[in-house]
Amino acid sequence: MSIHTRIRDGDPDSFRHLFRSHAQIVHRYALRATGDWSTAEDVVSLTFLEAWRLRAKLPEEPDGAKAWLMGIAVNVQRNTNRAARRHEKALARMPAKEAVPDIAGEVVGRMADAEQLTAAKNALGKLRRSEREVVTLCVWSGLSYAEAAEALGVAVGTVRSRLFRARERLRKLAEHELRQHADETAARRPEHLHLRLNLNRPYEKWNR
Amino acid sequence: MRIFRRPQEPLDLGDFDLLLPRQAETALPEARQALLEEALWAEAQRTAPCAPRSRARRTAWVALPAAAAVMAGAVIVAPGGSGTSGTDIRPPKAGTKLEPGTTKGLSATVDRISLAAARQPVLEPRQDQYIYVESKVTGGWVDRAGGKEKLVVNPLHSRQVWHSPDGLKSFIYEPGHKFMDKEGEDLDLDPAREVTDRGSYNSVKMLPTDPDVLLKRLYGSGRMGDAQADWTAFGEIGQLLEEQIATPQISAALFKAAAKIPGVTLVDKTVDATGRTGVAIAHTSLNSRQEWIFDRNTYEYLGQRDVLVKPYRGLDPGAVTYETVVIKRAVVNAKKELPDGTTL
Repeated sequence: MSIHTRIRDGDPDSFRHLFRSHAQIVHRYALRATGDWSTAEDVVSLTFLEAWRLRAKLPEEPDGAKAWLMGIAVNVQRNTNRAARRHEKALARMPAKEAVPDIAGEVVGRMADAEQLTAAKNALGKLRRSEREVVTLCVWSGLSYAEAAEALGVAVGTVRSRLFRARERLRKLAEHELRQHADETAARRPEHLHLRLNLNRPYEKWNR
Repeated sequence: MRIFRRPQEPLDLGDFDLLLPRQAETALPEARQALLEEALWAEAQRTAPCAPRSRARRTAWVALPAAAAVMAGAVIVAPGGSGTSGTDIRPPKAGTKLEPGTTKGLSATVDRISLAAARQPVLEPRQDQYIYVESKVTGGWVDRAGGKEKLVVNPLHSRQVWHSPDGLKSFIYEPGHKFMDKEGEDLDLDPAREVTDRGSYNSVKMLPTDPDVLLKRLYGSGRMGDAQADWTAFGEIGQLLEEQIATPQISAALFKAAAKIPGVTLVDKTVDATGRTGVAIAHTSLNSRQEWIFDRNTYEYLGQRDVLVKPYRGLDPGAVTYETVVIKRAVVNAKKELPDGTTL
């Protein structure tokens, strides 16, 4: 009996195995998509709580788990509140967020990450949701087009064209910002320069 | 200047590197992942159609300092801390009298048990060999048919496991198990993902031999005296006794550490799954009592059982919800190889 069959039959130990092998990829997706460590962890918990609830639908093929789980993660991320309501009690039983003290280095690392996460969120915020999802899945979570298509329940061609559109849109935005930045710099009087520089730094970073 | 490209062509995802802010390699911290895993597993247990006991977890978690904290933080959903099972070999009788435990004679008994463990032939697998443990176990599940939870049982059956010393390669043959493949199952772990060395022979070998230091390790960040943490620490050692091998020094340290756990008692008379009577080192939690059973004359380890001390899921106190006896421990050269040189 395969491990997927056992999960579908409701074996918690096999389900533990599924968590162990996919926790990181779901977390990476959740972190990029939400831009927030705390919410990302809720998305991870909710994704697996949903996976357990929907276990009868887990595909039989051993390779099918990733796309299936990521599909659930996308849905949870689309409507975290609804998922949180559904699993309200279970979520309350999840370990408290501060239960494990951070190792000092990790905290510093996270603060540095926070800036990048915010920048990522801002950039993604300029895309349509459908585009945002394919970018997060394909570019940042490393899913193939086929896996992303399965996760999102769309055709492979749709994934491809959404990615294409996302790239074009980001390009236009980048060009627009470059132009705007140039105009502002030209119009700016020297004594105000130091103030503006700070504000503009994120854009400069993206356009390098 | 933009080059036109049809959407059908594969995109160069590298393009996005220039358009989107760079992302650092972030990961869910390992200790955090372990905590989530334990909590999700407990959730799955509580809603599982069938709930085999923790034995099926197949590894103890001693090596991971956070593990005890993990389980200390997990919600108890069933006696045994992790599911429940029953037996139809000796149907649980209502009001079966349980021999009460006492701390009197506990340390002397622990000394004898440690000495007996030291007399056992020392098994030392090479890294390319396997630890083989054969046991007899009972397993069961919670039946929720008809909207009422009821413990359902299956008879005492054989279980054979092969574990590599690093714990990454395993084979389990337990055709009597409800979920397991009748042909046995490989349970190999991906070394790239399994960075922690949980409950493996190698990790047990590295355990401290000072009982106090060992105890601290077993508790992790759990607090001694906290009922859940005590129960978990005791259960951690119990899992090692079931399907692991340890040097005499480590065994002695494990037993001595166990005796220091609050609530641990000596039970003068108990009986194992095959009907042998013995003495037990026991720990009682809210619902049930874990017993490690030893031969009353030789103090050799025989097996374990869980007995309810409170009514639970339609069963009365005194009902035995889990049993295991060890039949043989050996070192073999390959998965499925038996100690007599034949193959499964």
